Amino acid sequence: MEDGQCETFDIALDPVTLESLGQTGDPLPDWVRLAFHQCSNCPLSPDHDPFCPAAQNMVVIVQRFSDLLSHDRATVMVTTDDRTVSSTTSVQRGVCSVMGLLMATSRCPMTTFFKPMARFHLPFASTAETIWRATSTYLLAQYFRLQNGETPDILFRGLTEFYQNIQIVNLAFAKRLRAACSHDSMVNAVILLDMFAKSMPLAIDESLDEIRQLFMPYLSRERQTSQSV
Amino acid sequence: MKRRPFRFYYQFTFSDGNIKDYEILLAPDTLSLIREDDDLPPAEWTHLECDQCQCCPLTPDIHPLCPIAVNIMELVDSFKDVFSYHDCTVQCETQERTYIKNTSVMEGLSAIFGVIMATSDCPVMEFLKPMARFHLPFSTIEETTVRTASMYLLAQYFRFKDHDGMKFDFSLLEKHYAKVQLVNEGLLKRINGVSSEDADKNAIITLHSLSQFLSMEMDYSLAGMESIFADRFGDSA
Repeated sequence: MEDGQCETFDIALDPVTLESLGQTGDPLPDWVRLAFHQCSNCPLSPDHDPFCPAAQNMVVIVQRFSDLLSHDRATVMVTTDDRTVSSTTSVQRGVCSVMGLLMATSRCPMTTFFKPMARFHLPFASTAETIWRATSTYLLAQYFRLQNGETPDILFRGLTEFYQNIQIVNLAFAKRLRAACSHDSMVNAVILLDMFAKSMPLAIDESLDEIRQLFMPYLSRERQTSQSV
Repeated sequence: MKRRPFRFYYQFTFSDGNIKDYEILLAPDTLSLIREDDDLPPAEWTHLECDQCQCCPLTPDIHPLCPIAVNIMELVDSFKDVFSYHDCTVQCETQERTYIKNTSVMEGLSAIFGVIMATSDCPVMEFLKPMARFHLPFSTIEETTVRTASMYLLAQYFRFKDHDGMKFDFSLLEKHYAKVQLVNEGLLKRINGVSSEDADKNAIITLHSLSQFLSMEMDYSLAGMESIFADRFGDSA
């Protein structure tokens, strides 16, 4: 932070399940209960899962970061085995990155399709980067479906549906966090996540025009000759 | 609205405190490398016909110079006396973030060479341009495999979305990488005579082994990664 204060946060993923390990604080606060602002599309039931898995993952970060103000500037460094990535940005953008990763790697059934993206986590991703990563990851998953004898969805219908569901999750999650936090950085981080979620169905509707241009080498050559790329 | 170029600003900090930097700018529309005004006249080894790649479709009357060679000339000159295994800190600054790694000179250089080669308008390398837009410095083999395969599938989507026939078949991608190997070999021959130390050569050798790997059966390379994707993209959400 600008005042010299430093907060660190460690996330480890199980290499097989890609679930994050050991984020759970104890005892769990009230806002983590599944029934507290449960998402309307949540398939879990309180008898079986008394706590929301995504919220459970968020307990530690909420305890530590909830006093921070969204627009405060901070230098955020993310160190992985392969490289260190840093950005001087707002607190909410840094928190948004961590929060996205924690939601994706929780046991929440609505966010499970984010897990491959979480494996190749890209901190501080822009909208263009997110659209590129989500759509290309989705197609690679369709390849694996085909390999398993299932029918691939090449029109991104499933992806649109995932993101529509995520918008419902984000909305309910913001309500949970509003109850949990005295300051706005957590809630604003979810709102930021939701902006990505909202942009995805739109981008798919527009046939990914924004990134289509990047593929001109593939498209123009097809027109010029019959040689395939 | 005029879009800004995509920028990758590389800095190498050596243990003796010396710094070398290199800025890559890509035109937002064409993803072609934006060339600086030339201080140096093109060296002999940048002439198209000097060790021209076997698979090169260019002719010297239209392209007197190899587009990649011209673009890496300055870098080769700047690193010609550097050992490849020298430790350094490589930093790459982009609009969204800064990537940092303590690594060998070779790994840093091979990241830069990778972008330059993809964006120099060499016809063999054109298919890699979308990857350069989303350049990931210091990527691992696993990252590169996933990025390449998924980028290729996205390209297929754009080609086939208005009609049937989208294939989940990587054989053409593998053929492309086989040609990339020839370009790497050609480039190596070109710069062999130039530099006294080995950083640049080994950087290209790194890229070479990567393209060898990617020209092998993609299905096989991806097989080990199925668990990352399996059962997460079912029919119903």
